[in-house]
Amino acid sequence: MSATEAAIDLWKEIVGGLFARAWENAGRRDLPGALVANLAFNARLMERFVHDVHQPPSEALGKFIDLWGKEWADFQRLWLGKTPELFTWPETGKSPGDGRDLFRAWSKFYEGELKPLLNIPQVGLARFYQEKANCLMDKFHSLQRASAEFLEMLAVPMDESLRMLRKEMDRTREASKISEGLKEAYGIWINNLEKLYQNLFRSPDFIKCLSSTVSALAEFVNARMEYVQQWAKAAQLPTIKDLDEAYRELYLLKREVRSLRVAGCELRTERLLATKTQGREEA
Amino acid sequence: MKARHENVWHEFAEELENLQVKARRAREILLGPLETEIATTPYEVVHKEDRVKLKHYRAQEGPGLRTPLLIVYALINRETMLDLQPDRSVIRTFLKGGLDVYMMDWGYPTRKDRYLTIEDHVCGYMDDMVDFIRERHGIEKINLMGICMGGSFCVMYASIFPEKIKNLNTTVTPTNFDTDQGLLHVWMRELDADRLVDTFGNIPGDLMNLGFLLLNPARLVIDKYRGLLESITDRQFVENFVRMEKWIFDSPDLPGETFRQFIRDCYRENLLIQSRMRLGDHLVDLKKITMPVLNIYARYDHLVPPDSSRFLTQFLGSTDVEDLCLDTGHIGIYVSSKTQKEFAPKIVRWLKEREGRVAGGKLRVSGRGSRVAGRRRPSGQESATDARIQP
Repeated sequence: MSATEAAIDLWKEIVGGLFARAWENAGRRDLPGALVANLAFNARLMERFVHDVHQPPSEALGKFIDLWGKEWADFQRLWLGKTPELFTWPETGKSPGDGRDLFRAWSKFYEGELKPLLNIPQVGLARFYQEKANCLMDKFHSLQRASAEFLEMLAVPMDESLRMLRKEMDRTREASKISEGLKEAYGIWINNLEKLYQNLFRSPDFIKCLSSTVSALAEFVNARMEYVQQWAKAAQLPTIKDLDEAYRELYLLKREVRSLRVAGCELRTERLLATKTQGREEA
Repeated sequence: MKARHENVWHEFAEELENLQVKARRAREILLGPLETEIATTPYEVVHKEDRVKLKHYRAQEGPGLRTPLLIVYALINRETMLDLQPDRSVIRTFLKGGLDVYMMDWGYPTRKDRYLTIEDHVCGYMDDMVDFIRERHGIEKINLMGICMGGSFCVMYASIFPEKIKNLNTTVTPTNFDTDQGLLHVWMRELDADRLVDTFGNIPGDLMNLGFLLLNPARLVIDKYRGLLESITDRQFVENFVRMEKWIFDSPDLPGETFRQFIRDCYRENLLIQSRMRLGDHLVDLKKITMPVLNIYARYDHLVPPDSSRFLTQFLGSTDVEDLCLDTGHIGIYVSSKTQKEFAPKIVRWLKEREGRVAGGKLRVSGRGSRVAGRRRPSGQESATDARIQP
């Protein structure tokens, strides 16, 4: 009997045994006895199962394990090969760079490997919904990446100011009282921090990062709105776009009314002046 | 070494004891009654149009100036800054000086206000309020005072409707944007305003607050609160601090189209100072501003740096202009105890000196000898901006 046939027989016994015995025993109104008999039977089944598991695996099972094992190893090699920069640390003695190598490496990996997955054309009735969901995920990632880079830039002056404080404190160790020493240290630190931030905020790198973070935020908000609006539309609820259209029309109407009112006032004033002038002339 | 070691522990114990006393006092103050109300000077809302209200503060000491003053604050933050604390209230100083004060309350814009342009604010709401005041008092002209962006609006208004304005006062008002003195000027040129407006509609107040905090995070996010902790046993300090916090984070949204136009026409293209800015069919020509102008700015203003404010008077058509530079910052000009004695009383005096004048800058003949105030050239150091900005 092959391993497959043995497995099928075992399965049939389990299913038959679990239900048939219990049903028979319950019919004889010997429920406790039926339960005990059932438990004993289940124990024998479990023993048989454990015994069978310890038998040498069949050729089919071996091939199955080989196939999946090989595929898994290939998969890991493939992805590790695509992301070497993510796992590269700067060599000892070499400059660590501007600290944004990781962001660049991740961006390259994301744009090359993950984003194409989100851009796979969707099919079926729910394709538009799926497309918008994919777009939302993409923009969410962009926002996270931009925010992380922005926060990393903001953290640099903090690190630098603490380093400068340590150097300064090493230089001047004398302080008559703890509290005065702390105050002085705080004063040095906050002044340095302020100067470092002012220098950072005027740098082209920071301005570019700020601009891209704000753009990423705007794109994410737009994508989120698009995604939510399609569900609102499906639920027959008014969307932001609908409201904006109504507001725009209202605004234009109000402008029209105002200009008509102003024109009316001017006309009335002109007529009044003309009447007065005429009255004076007649007089 | 041992003595120093013992000293350290002794000092540490002393500090802990002080801290304990401080914490107890702080608890009493924070859990007790605190007077943190702002804008407590009584007023009456005399006119309302959409979200915009006109507040009227009646003069305290008998009839003062016949010509009322309309104050136009910026669209960013709230006009309650001028009445933050009873002892440092610009409004109260004006009222004590005999001014009849009106103030525009721009309210809280909602989504439906997103299409309002600068023209709607200046030639719409402001013009209606000015006409209302003129009709109410039966006068042809009023005094106009603008603060920050409100001052830019006042400059635009005065150039379009000069016949309605008797005297113009601009305070920390940005009119020249071709400068890198302020971080905002550097950032705004690179920001994609169109995308922000198309995304958000109105620019969220919280986003703007975040931007303002980012201008100097060391002082505004860290040092400010360290200062609070240090002075937390001083009830008056805590009350004033909380009032300031209430004001500073009370930020209405900014109507999108107004923001778009302000960034494009002012920050990017600097049209205002060049008299090339258009509000609908109206051209904002600074030469048409012929009434007396008092231009006040702050030397240490990080939001509207001196180079952004001080050139205005060189481009006006008026012969009675004066610049005043105060040694303070953008907000300190209103709330600093030192400038309280300088800023508001100066405006009151300046307006009183011109109360009796008729159109054309000539003084009405009075019992006393008087002279026509000549054009006062602005004093200031030459900067790169001077070379670029020529009247």
